[in-house]
Amino acid sequence: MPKTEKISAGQLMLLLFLSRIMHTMIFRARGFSSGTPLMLGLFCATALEAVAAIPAVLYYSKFGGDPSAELFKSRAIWLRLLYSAYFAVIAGGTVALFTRFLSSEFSKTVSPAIAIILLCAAAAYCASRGIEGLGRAGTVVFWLFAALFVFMALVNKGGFDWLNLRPLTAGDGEKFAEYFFENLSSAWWLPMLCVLGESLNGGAAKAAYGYLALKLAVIEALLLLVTVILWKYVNVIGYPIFALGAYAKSDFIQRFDAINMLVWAINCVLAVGAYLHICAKPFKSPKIFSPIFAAISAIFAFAAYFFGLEFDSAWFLAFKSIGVAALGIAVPGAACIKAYVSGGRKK
Amino acid sequence: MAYEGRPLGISLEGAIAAIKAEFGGSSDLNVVRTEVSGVKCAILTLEGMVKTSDLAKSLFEPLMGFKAKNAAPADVFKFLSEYGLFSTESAVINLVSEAAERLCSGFAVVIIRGFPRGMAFGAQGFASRAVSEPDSEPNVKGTREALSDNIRTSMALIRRRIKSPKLRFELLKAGKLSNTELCMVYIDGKTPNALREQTKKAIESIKSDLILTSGNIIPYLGKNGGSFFSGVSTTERPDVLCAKINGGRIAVLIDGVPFAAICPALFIENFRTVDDSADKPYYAAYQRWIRFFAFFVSSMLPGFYVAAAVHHPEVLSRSLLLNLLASEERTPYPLIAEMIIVIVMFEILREAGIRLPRSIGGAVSIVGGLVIGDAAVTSGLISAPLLIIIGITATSAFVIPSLNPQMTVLRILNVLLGGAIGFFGIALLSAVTLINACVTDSFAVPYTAPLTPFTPSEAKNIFIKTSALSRRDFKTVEQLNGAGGESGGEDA
Amino acid sequence: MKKFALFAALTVLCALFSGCEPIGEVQRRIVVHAIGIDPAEGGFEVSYEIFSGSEAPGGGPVDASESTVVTLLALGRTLFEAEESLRLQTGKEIFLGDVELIVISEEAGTENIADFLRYFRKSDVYLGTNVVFCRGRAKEIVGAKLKQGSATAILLRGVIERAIEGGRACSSRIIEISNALSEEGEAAAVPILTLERGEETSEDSTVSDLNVGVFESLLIPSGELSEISETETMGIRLLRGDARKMSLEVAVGEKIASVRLEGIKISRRAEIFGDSPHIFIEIEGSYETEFSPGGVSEEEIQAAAEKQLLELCERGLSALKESGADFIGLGKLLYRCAPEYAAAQNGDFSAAIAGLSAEAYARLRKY
Repeated sequence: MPKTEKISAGQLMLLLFLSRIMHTMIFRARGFSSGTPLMLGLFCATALEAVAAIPAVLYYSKFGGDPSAELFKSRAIWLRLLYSAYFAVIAGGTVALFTRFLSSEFSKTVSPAIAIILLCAAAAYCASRGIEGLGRAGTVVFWLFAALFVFMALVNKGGFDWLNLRPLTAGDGEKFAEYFFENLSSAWWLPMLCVLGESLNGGAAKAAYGYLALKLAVIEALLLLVTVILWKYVNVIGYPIFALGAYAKSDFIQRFDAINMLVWAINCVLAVGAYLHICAKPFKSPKIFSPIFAAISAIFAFAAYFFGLEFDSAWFLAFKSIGVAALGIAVPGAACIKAYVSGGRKK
Repeated sequence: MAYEGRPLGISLEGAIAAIKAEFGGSSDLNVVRTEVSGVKCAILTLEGMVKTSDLAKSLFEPLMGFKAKNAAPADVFKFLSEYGLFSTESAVINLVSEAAERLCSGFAVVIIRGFPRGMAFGAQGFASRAVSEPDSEPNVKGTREALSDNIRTSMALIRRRIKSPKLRFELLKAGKLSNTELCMVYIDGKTPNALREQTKKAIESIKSDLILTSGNIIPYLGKNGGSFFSGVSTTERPDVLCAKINGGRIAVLIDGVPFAAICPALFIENFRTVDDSADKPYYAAYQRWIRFFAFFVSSMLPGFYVAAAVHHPEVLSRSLLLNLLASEERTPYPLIAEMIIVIVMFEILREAGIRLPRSIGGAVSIVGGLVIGDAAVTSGLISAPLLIIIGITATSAFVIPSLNPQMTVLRILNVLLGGAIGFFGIALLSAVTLINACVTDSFAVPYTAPLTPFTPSEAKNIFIKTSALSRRDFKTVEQLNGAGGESGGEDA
Repeated sequence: MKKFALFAALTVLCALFSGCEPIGEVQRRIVVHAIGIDPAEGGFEVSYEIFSGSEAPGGGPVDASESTVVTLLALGRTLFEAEESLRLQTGKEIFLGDVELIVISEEAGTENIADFLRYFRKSDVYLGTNVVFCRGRAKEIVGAKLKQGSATAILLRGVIERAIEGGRACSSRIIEISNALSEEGEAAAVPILTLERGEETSEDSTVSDLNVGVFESLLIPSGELSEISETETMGIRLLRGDARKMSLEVAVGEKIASVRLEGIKISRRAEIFGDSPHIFIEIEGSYETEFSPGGVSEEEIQAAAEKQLLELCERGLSALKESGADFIGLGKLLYRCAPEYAAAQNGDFSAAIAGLSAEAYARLRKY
C-alpha cells in the first residue's frame, strides 16, 4: 500500500470552496443597498468562471502533468516561481484581511501583530505536512462550517422580510458591475486548480464544476439571508456574514460572534496553508520553504497593518485579476494548445 | 560472543564448558549428567524456563528406558532424533550458540559425548499468571479473558476464537539482548501482503536491547515523525484482537507482555467497544455519540470555559456568567491560574490512584474529592463552577482511556491558549491538531479514515450503527478510501 | 530536543501572555443589564444597571435580582464619554454584551436617536436588544426597585416583549430601528415605557406602589415626531403586515367580549390609482373567545372582531397620514408592486403616504 501524495476531486473541490468562502467571510461591505444585483452579479461571474475553467479542466482531463513544464520544459521553474509569488501575495492578503477583522471585532482578545505571526506559523505547519493532510482536513472544516451555518440559521432571531428582495432597477447596474468584477477577480481558484491539478487523482472537471456549483449555492444562500434578515444594517456592521451570526442567539450559547470567529480562524489557517503549499510546491523541501513563504506572507500582512497597504483596494483587485487571467486561464490554455499541436502525451 | 559459530564438538565436558562460558557462568544454567545405555550424556536446562515434571515424564523416563547392547553415541542420537517422541518441538543442535538460544527459549538440550551434535526438546514451562480479566479494557457483555504474558497462551486464546486454518501466526525474534519472541497474527486473505511484509521488516529493524513492553516495538511499527496520535493501537482483549485482524489488520504479540500491538489503527476505533456489537444498534449508536462528545468535552471544555469567561463572556448565558462572576469575586487567583492548578491537582490524584496499591487506592478519592475539592471551594481558593467543569472533564476522560495522553495534553494547551488569546488560540490549536491527525497514517492507511477520506458505507456504521444482519459491505482497512493514496471516486 | 524546546518556549509564552492583559481577571469586568439615557446639561446622564458580584450571597445559584444589582450614574457629552466615566468610577472594564434593555427618555432620544444607535452598533450590545422611550426620567425606570422578583432590566424586557407579542407595540430592536431610519422616508415606531407611582405604601409593605407598562408608541420619522396610542399602533402593525397574534376587547352591542387572535396572516398588495397608491390588505386568522358575556353568540363576536380589525386599520392609516412618514414599509411594497412609480419617488415617499388609501378585508375562523 504505497503512499501517493494525491488528493481526490472531492477534496480539491472542498479546498477550493473553503479558500473562496474565506474571502466572503472577511469581505467588508461598502454601501449595501439591495441584495438582488449582488446575487445576479455572483451568478453571472460564476457562469463566466465555468467557461474560464475549460482550459485547465481540458488540460488535466486530456493530458495531465504540470502545465508549466508542458510549456517551458526545463525553464518552467520561472513560471512556477510566478505562481509562488502570486499565492504568497494572496496568502498575505488573506492574513491581513483576517487580522483586520480580528482587530475590529475582537480588539481586546489578540493584538494584530501576534495574530499575524501565529496565523502564518500555523499555516506554515499545515503547508509543510503536504497536500494530503490539507485535503483531508478540508473535508472536516467544511462540515464544521456547514454545521455551524445550519445551527446559526436555526437559532437566528431575525425575521425574514421578503420585501427587502427588490426587483432589479436600472440604477442597480453599477452595483451589479462592481460585484461582478469583484467576484471575477476573486477567482484565484483557477490558478490553484492549475497547480493542484497535478496532485489530483483524476476528476478535474468534477472538482472544478463541483466547486462552482457549491460556491454558487452557498454564497447565493448567504446573500439571500443577509438581504432578507439584515438589510441595510450591513452598512454599519461591516462584515455581513459575521453579523448574520451575531443575530443568532440560543439559551445555551448566548451569542455566536466568537464561535464564528473560531471556525473562521480554523478555515483561515487551512486556506493560507493551501496557498503556502502552492508557494512551496516548486521546491524540493516543503518543510523548509513553507515557513519561508509564510514569513513573506507575514511581511505583506504587516505592511497592511503598519503601512496601510490595502488588500481590498483597486490595485489588489487588478493584481488578482491579472493573476487569474494569466496563471489560471492563459497558462493552461497555452499548455493545452501546445500539447495538441505536439501530438499530445496521453495520460 | 566468543563462542558464536563454534561447533559443539565431541567432548562432552568441552561442550558444557563452552555453553557455560556463553552464559558467563550464570547460576540458572542446570546441567544433569547421566548415562544412556552406557553413553555419557548431559541434559542442560535453564532454571524456571522448563516444566520439570513434564521433562521427567517426556524426556528422562524414555531416555532411561533406552537399552541397547554396545550402544555408540550415534545410536543414542538416532534414538533421540528419529525414534523418540519427546516433545512436539525439537531441533538438532550443531553450534554452541544454537544451544544457548534454544535454552533461552525454554528447551532442554541433550549433549552426547563423542557425538558432534545435540538435540533440543521444547519443554517450556515458565511460571506465569493464569488467564485473568482484562482490567484495562473492561466490558459488560464480552469475554472475561485477557491476553496472557505467555505468548503461547495468548496464541491459544486467539485460536480458540478463530478456528480456521486461515488464521496465521508467524513467530519472529527481536531485542538484541532479550531475544524476545514476537508473533505476527493475521488472517490470510484479509490482511494485505504488503502490510505483512512491511510489519515483518519493521520488526526486523528493531534495534532495542530489550523488548519489555509494547511501547518498545510501537515506534518501529508506526513510523510517523511528529505525529500527535498513534497509528498503532494496543489491546489486551483477544476478542478485540480477533475483530481487528478480521478487518485486515495485523497484530503483534510479545512474549512476556499481555498486550498486543495492532496496526494500522484508526482514530475512530477509539470510540468502538466490544459491547457495541452486543447492544441494539440504536443504543450502540447513541453510546458512540456520547463517546465522541466526551472526547471533545474532555479535551476542550476547560479551554472553552476559560476563553469564554476571560475573552468572550457574551457567549455564556447570563446565569452562568453571573454565577461565574460572583464566585470569582472571592477567589485570589486569575481564572486561568485556577484552572491550571485544578488540572494539575487532578492529574496528581489520577497518577496516585494508578500507582498506589489497590487496597489503599480508595484513600486517594477520599483525599481528592472530599478534602481537596470541598476544602478548596469552602476556603475560597477555587470557584465552584470551575470545579464542576473539571469534574465533567475528568469523568469524560475516563470514557476513552485509549486517547487519554492526547486528551490530557490538548486540555492543558487549550487552557493556556484559550486563556491567552481566547477562541483564536483554540482555533489555531484545533487547526494544527486536525492537520496532524489527517497526515498521520500507518502503513499508508489514513488515521482519520473512514471519515476523511470518506468511505460512506463505513462512516455510516460509525454514526448510525447498523445491525449485523444488514451489514453486507464490510470493508477491511485496505478497502477504505485513501488507503495507499486518495481515490478519485466517491470520497471527499 | 529542538522540538521540545520550541514547544516549551511556546507554552511558557502563552502562560506569560495570559497575565499581560488585565482582562485576564474575570472579576475586573462589570456586567451591565440595562442602560437609561437622560438629558443633562451639555450632554447626557446615563444610568447603568450593573451586576454586583460582591453583593451576591455565598453559595447557591446567583441571578440578577434586586439584591445583586445596583444602578450607577455617569455623565458625558456623548455616550462614549459617559461609558469612559463609568470606567473611571469603577476602575473596571464595561461589558455591554448582556444588556437586555435600553431606555431613552423622550427629551434625550427624539433628536439624538441616530447617534445613540450608532454608538450601540459599535459596542458589544446585541443587535436584537430592545430600545424603548420613556416618559419622565429613564434613570427612574432603570433604577426602579420593582417587587416582581427579578431585576428591572429582565422584568421590563418581559413587559415589552409581551406588548409586542400582543400587537400593542412595534418591535423595536436596534437593528430594526436602524434599518427603518436608514431608509429614506421610512421611520420607526418605538414603544414608550411608562412608570407610574400608585398610592404610597409603607416601606415593609408587600404591595408594590410602582406600575410599569407600554401604553403608547413614539413615531420617529426624519421629520416631526408624533405619539400614537395603543390602538393606532395595532393598526400600524396590521398595515405593516407583521402582526401574528393579538388580543382584542371587542364591543358586541353594549357588551364587551375578549378575543385572542392567533396565526394572523396578512397579505398586502399595492396598486396606483391616478397619482396615489392604494393598498389592499387581507387579514386572515383564527380566533378564540377568551371571555364571552352572556347572550352573545359566537357569530356576533366573530363579526365584531373582524369589524374591529378593519377599524384598527383605519386608525393606523390616519395616524400614518398624520405623521407623513413611512412606518409600514410602503416604499419596499411599491418597489415590488409598482416599481416604476416607486423609482419615480426618488426615495421620498411622503407624497405617497399623504395620498395613500387602503382597503382591508378581514376573515376570521374559530380556533
